[in-house]
Amino acid sequence: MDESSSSKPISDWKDIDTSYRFPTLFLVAKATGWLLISTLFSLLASIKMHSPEFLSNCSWVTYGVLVPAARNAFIYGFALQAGFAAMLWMTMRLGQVKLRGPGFIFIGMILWNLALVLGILGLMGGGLSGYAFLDMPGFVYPMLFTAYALIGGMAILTFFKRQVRELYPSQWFIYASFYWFPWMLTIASYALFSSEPARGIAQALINQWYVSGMTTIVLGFVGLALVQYFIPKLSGRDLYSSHLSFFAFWMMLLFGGLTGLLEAQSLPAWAGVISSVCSHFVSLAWVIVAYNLWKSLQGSGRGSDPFALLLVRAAALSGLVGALLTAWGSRPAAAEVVQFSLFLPGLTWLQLFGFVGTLLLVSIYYFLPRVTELPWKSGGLLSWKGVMTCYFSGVSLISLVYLVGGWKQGKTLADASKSFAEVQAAAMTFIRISTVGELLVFVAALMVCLKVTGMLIAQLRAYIQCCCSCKSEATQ
Amino acid sequence: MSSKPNNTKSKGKTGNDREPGVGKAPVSVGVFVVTILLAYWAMMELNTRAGGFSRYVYGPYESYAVVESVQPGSGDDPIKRGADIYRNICSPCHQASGMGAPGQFPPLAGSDWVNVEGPNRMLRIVLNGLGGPIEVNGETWNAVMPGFGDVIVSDEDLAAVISYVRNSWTNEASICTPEEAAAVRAESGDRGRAWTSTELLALPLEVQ
Amino acid sequence: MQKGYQLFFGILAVMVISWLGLVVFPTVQLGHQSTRQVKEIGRHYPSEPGSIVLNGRKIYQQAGCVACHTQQVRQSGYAFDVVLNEVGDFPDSVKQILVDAAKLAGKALSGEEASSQMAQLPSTLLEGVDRVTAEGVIRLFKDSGAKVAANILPLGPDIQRGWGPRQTVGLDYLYDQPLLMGQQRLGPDLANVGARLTDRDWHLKHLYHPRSVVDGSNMPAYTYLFSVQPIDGEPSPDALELSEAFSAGEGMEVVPKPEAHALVDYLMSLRIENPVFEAPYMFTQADPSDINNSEMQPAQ
Repeated sequence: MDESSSSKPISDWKDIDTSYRFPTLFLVAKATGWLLISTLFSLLASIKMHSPEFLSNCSWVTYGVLVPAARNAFIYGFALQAGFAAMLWMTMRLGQVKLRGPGFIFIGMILWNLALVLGILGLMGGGLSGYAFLDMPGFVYPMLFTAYALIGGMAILTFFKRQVRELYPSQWFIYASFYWFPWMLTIASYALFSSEPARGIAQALINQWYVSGMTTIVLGFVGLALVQYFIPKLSGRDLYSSHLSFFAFWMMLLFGGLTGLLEAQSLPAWAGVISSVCSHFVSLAWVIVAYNLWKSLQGSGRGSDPFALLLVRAAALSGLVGALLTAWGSRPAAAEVVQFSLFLPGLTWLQLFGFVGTLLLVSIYYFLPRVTELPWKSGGLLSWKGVMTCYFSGVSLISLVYLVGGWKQGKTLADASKSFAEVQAAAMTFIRISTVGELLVFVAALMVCLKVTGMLIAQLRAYIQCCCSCKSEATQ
Repeated sequence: MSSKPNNTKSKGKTGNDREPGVGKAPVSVGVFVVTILLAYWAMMELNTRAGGFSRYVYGPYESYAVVESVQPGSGDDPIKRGADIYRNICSPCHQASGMGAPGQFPPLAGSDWVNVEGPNRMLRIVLNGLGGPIEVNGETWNAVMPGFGDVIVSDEDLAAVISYVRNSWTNEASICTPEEAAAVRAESGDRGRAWTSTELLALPLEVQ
Repeated sequence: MQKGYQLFFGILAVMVISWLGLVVFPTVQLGHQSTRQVKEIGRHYPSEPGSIVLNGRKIYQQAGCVACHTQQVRQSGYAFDVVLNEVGDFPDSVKQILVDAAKLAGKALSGEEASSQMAQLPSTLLEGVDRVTAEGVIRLFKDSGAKVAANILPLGPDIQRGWGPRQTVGLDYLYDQPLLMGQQRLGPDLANVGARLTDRDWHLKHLYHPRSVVDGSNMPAYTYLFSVQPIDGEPSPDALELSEAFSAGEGMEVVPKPEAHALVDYLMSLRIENPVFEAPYMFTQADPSDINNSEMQPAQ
């Protein structure tokens, strides 16, 4: 935790890390802020699920508004911004290069957050678009794209200036993610929000293509880059095989386009079969990645930070289970049960919060002290272990409860002799338990946010003091 | 740490902050075998359950042919019955596509003799045949078509095949009823010779 | 894969494949459908929704109703009813075939039962048999002079629940912009709600306070669609007739805002009432008493 400030010979790292200090700190501070907002919305929505009278006379906070608001705040606010920070960090570290154009990144980030604030407010104030993962009103996406062009452009420039030419597997995943997102965003937002949008159920497929691309490729690849970076890094061993990673990388990229539970929806038969086939290939790629990581870990000791390593392994397991369950749920027999139940949000929690979210928080925990040269304050509730235990147990609880509850709800729904009230009752216990998980995640998000904000303030104060002292020295 | 960081080997030297390296273990045969098996399974799935990628095949129906065969009252559907008759009697010349053959048999798909208000003239051509030049969609054809009044004996079948032609491919015209077919047959069934296009053009479009 | 540009072009190639297969192909195949003549109803389907319905749809979209309600009916299988419509000129041989047909479907049928089946036409010979059996039975009647038909019977829990007579297909969503077909069933499916629940007042009360009409409902109240106002002389003709437990209090009345009316108009326009080629079912002409509901139909 404190090696960044202790050992002498890493002055190179210091140069690299500090070039990254302010963009990163702001990105991470904003990201954790959005995580807090997202988990708050999610908590409120969860309460509304079993207590419909709660906040019921306001059009801004209906359940149907809070859920997409939480989801979009998580994806665009937390996951992508923290993802940018983590990807920039890995680009610089693995390429041994200083960050290019931090100013542009800063501008891009401000624009990104502006777009997001407008988007979330627009969504809550009656501009809900109705498309999953693209719930914000249409005007937001060109803004997000422009902001992205600044951030991603600088990341790619940094990548091309790298001094280590040889690519580490994580870098493939990072670049696929960096390239895929703007293309996907452009295509999907054009197809759905232009003056001549796609008609009928073509919208459903384009939307699912975006959702699947976001889950499996854009955010999934951030997670996979991080997990393949942290497992060797924390265990002090090399990644077992670049060939296995290579194989899994292209398989996921090729088949990540239309995973998900489309079987038995009102789509032509081919859509369900394609989604099932894609989900199976993605889960095979996941098994290969998991095998690669498992081989890398074999025979390693406790590593430099056992708790972080444990978290990374737990996150990887969430990702693997999520991919396998998606493949299983896409089979016709299972789809008839889990379709339209809480199973789908369960999978989203497992993949986005359990896998990607945990890894992003680990990355924040790992690189922020190195970048700022300030160690985390330890002890008490605010200790890292406390926060992450709180977060991961909350996420696991919600995923488990939704997956099991979804199965039970789906079983009841598939039995036509049961009334809808019974279907509702079947899921209710699980929904109530999920609120506990939501509360845990919210508390964790609050603590992370406080920590990061504290760090940002300390850094700014140090910076201002430095400037003042320099000035006073100059005047003397 | 060396001052020139472009040597990857130097990464390993800085203790905890060492950047990870990567091994070069080969991909085992098992991975390829599993991938190939999965690909084979995927092909089978796409072959058997995807409904030929048709926009008309949904859910429990296996293929377009199944969807077609389960249409309600399909036994009594004149268009469906007409399709069978067309396949047996008409398609040798006019083709299953209704496009005819260039220079020999005029098209029915998109024809200005088919897409008209009533089936009067079509019924007469099918019953008694047609001879001499005929202009279809601005092009003049010179072919002889025999009459099928003796082949298609039931008025329901006659009406069915006319309805099929009038509502297939790009054609959109009214259904021909068995009553209309019966009326035309009663009027001109014993005519005994083929029509010419000039004679037909003098007749009304709709069955009187 | 050690060069940046190789990586770039590789990813680009995959993206193009993905885009062509999963965006362009569905847009062309499914997005470019057009309305179709449906002979059972004698008009083109679907018809374009009117402006009142579209206003209601907007409210539905803004409130995020799609988070809890799907608008898609699933079908998990299908079966057939084999119906004898006409006996024809050879009743004796038809009687024998009836006995054989029952045997084919694994049932025993006596001669008297066969006669009684032939006495009341149309009579359902077999219920819920699979395609092979239905086709076999129909083949038996070939050349007998009798007229039999196999009537398709869509199956599945959604259809059994009465959420729609058939599964929904792409054509049904042709005018849905944006598409609101939903992924979650925390509430029941709404694809056919206009045909299931035809009472306008019920819908209004349900929106104002779901538990006033459905015990134990989990739906939030959409009170912001209503104005609670003091009764000024005469009660408004539009005011909801609420029971004691849910009323707004002494001297107060609950009047739906235009948004509430629009939303109810939209909900009542959601109907599946005709077969389409992709999802056939035995269509029976609507009861004449239903015709007065047709004014809530989307304008042609």
